[in-house]
Amino acid sequence: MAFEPILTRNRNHPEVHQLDAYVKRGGYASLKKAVSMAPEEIVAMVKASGLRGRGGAGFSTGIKWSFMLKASTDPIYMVVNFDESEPGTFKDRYLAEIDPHQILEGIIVGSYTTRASVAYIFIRGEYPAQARILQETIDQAYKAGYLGKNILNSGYNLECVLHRGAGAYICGEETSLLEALEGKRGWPRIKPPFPAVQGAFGKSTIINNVETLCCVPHIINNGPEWFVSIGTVHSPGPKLYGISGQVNKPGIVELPLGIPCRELIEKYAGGVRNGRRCKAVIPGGVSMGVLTEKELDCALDFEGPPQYGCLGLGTGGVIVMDDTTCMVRVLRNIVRFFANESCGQCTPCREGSVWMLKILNRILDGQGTLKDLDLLIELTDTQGALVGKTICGLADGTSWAVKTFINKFRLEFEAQLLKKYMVSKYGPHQKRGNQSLCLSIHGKGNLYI
Amino acid sequence: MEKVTFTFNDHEITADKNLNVLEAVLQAGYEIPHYCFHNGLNPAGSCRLCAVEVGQYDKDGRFSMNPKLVMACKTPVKESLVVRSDTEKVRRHQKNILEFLLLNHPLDCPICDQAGECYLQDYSYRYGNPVSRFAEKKNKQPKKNIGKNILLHADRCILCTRCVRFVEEISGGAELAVSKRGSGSEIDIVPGQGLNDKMAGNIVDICPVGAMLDKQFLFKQRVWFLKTAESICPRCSRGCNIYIDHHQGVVYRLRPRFNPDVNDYWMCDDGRYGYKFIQAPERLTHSSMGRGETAQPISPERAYNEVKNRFAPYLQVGNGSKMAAVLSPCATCEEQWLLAQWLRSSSREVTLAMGPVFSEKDDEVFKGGFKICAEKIPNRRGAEAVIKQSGTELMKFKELLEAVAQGRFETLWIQGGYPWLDWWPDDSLDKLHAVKVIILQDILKSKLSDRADVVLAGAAWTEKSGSFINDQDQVQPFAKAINPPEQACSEAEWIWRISGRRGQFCMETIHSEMADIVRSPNTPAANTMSTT
Repeated sequence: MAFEPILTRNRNHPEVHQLDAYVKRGGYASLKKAVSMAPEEIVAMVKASGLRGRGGAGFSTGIKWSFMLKASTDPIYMVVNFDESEPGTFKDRYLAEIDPHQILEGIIVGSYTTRASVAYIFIRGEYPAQARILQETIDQAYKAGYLGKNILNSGYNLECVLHRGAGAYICGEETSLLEALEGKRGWPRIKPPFPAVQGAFGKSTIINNVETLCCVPHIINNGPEWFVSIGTVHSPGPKLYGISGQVNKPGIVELPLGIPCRELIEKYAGGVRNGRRCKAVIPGGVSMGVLTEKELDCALDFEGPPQYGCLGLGTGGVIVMDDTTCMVRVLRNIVRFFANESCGQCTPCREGSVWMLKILNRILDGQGTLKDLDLLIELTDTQGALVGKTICGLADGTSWAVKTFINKFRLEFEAQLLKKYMVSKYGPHQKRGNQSLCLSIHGKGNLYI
Repeated sequence: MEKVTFTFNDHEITADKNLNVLEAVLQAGYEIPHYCFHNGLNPAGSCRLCAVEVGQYDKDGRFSMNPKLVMACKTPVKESLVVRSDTEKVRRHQKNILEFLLLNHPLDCPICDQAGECYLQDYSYRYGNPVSRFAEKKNKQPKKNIGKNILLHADRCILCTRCVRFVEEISGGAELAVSKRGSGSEIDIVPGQGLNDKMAGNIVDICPVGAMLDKQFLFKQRVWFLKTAESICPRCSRGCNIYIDHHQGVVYRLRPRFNPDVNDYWMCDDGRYGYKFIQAPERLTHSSMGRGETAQPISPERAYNEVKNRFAPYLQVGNGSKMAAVLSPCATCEEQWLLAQWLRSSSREVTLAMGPVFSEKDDEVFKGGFKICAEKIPNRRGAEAVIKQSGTELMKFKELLEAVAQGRFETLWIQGGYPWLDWWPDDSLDKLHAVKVIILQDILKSKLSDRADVVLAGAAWTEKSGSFINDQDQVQPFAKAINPPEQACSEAEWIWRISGRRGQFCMETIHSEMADIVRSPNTPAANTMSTT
């Protein structure tokens, strides 16, 4: 039986941007149901559904919400993480483009459950069009009485504020998002205190990903048992996979969690472009590490990628690379990204990421030695200088990328180190510099001549 | 405050419950290396150097160590917590962090002012790697002029953000911020502003490396030559506790000394740079004799004899009412007391007045609670206490000037010691002609010293020990840092000899006699906790 899309069910109905059309297609039904329930009941329901956060960490949403039942600050805030800055990830943007009211419905239900009185949507600065769509949606909802005072005569009040970020990767991390929301520099905070205790403006705050909140109305409409029946035992529910890279059909596809990576690429992304072989896949955002061709049977759920040395599923932004890709350059690109986006607060991340970038640059310039690879591995080791030594997880992400790339494609890195030797022996006969030389080494497969 | 007991590397430490592990360990006298933490600021937890391993007993009494390192500055103390900084894991982490910090740090210690008191040097020697594995090019940030007295060498900065938190939390100006991101981050001044408030100099003290530099100290002296004396700042009645750093008789800089009751960890720039009068060209290095044109320098021996000869007749019975003494609010309690006690014991009719008290309109209070007092002299309360104890009415300076104008006094004994010239009001200088004998004890040459019959060259506060009573009535003793000019000596020593006391000048004798005023000369002196 083919899987019927749930979160993207309205993808062929552009009229759902209008509130009436959305309601006609069953919209805001869950909200009507929710306001007749006690928050505790909804939390129990979400807990039973086994919904896990879609932003990357995969923490149980029900448990997260249950913390909020104990929150006693006034007011309580709901913050929606729409920063979506992980490279290769564009699922939330897609959701906003096809079905913005679904996001808002999830936000209102979530806010009602956590008794929040203001919901902030923190949308990344690079999404101006999506911000416009959301703002229109919010305005419509205010008019129709789904936002504002006494929502659906339930006596519940909710304000919704759209806040545009200024374009920093780190602001996708929840505590630095809060700092940025407060108008400060986006530096992650040390936990504890957790946001549930002391979040935005010092008040109890619940922070959820857009896709997570989109799942909630469906759970309330169809019941947790239905939700559990989708996906795997530990990772139930549907998931938006964003496929990019060298495939024939890049884009968003909604599937139950747990789909094998190979099936995703072959069946839903139309296979690798130009009939080439797949060489490597980044399962969910560049900080998660990399899968090789041999590991493509990895199930894309929260348990799958860690079995292959990756950090986790991440955001589900799958990046596919074919066999013409130079992994050293890919890694350099990734590390350059992290070095640029490191906020500069913690010493290991600030200094370590740039150090690694400089080493990789040197390797690509043909000045590297085998010692450099060992140093990179030592720095990024789980017991090394970066992992778990910083306030937020950015350094872990950098480390995981470096570690898995070098460990899984060590031969290619060593081949790059050979470049200088090759050039000195055979002369710089390759016209296009670094890249073509890489290709020639990898393409022929004779690494050690 | 409730106490808890925990162990640190097998040492048992009892500390207040509201402290974090780092504070408690430092207070107990042990060391955990740290950069971003400063006792006077809120912890940031960003340098990651103070990492320790902690472990605790769970409900069933089973002991376990946490798998992750925690930052001591962000971990509250807990009963029976086990803290270890001597494990392999912590040591390796410390090595890594110090290696990271040195990656982009220029190794220009030979020309760096901080060398010798640099925590990056110290910790690198104590906890760091002997070699660096860094083979790349270092980042090079610019040198910036960020304020009247402050220079920022951004390439030396390790981004502990102490300075940023200081301007936010203590001085309240928030002129500094971190600009840019990641490895390119640097401390910068908010555009259009300069770091020119009166607290700015503290930033140099709290900077653990040589990034923040004091322009007035720049390249003046290597810090390992400096000797340090504990003293009190004389530039306002707050009496901030300070260190005087000096070498070969020259004072090079003042630094704040921790005292939670007075100045915490800070001092103001008025005080910090307000010591230069002791090296001013107007400084009196010799005693002198004769008014105006006829003045000539004389030896201390001669000065002693001259004063005795001229002053002796007035000390005889019946002449007391012709005599007035001006006690200086810039002098120490001991000096004020010696003069008052000597003159009062010879005659009960002698007039005791207090020199002018210079004052601004209001105290200046900063965000963190630091206060600069309106009164710009250190020891008004000392003079009042001395005069009260001697049993006479204090004559106000204004009344004294009127009485002088009326010709009530034949002789005046004036204590000066003000840190600025011409403290005696110009319009009443001419009236002094009527006074037959004027003895002046001062440190700077002024119009007043031209009119005195005998000028006794005195010692500035760095050159003597004594005590001041501050605006909160705290008696604060201080120690001598450097010697006065060769031919000068402290006011107390002059009076000791002239009043005919026997033997060597002895501070203890004075203290025991004036016990009521200076109850315990060692009272609220600071504990010398690490301030950096």
